[in-house]
Amino acid sequence: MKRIAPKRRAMPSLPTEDEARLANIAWFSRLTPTQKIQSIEQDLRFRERLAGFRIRKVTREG
Amino acid sequence: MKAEDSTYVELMIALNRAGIRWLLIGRQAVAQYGAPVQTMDLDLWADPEPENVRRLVETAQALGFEDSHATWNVSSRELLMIYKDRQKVDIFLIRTFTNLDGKTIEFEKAYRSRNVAESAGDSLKVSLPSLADLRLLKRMRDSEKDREDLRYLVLIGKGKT
Repeated sequence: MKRIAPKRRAMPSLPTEDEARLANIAWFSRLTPTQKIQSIEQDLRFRERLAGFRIRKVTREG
Repeated sequence: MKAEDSTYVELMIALNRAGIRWLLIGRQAVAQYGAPVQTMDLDLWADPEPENVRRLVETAQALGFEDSHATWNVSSRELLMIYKDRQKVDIFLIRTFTNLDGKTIEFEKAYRSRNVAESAGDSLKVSLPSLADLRLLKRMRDSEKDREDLRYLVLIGKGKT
């Protein structure tokens, strides 16, 4: 049987991957089905807004 | 601000207006560099300097965000999880990340070498860590998703050289 290695993380003070997932589940489960769809739509709208953005290097403060 | 702005956009514009120092990290940042990946929340890294955090909290509260702990007491927290409507935002309040390879990355240094995603005529400006810094941050965990993101970032970096 294949052994599954424990998940590695660099900073124990931060939530583990599964703890982060549990927080996401807790949040998502509070949404109604309509709100879940709206959440996905909002996310897509955000991606759409940023899709045309260009990335430039900041050469000085401000 | 546009009528159809998402909660994320609203938050980012307000943070910029308040002069708060933050960076978009996580999968949204990876996507912004051109990787075809998807995520359902937003990860930000904010300067943990108390005045920056105070203004951040004030801004989030003014926009109607709720704190997952409900207290807004952030003095000893390295991760602030906030919600509004149907959107979730994770804000890391950490001075220095140390990744699995033992490499460290300080907010100050990452912010100084940041890139900005913007578009002419759009009030939204998104601060991103450099590709090199984002690669370091993607080594915080060793999940399949992080490895996939890292592979994308390496390829995107090669395409830019």
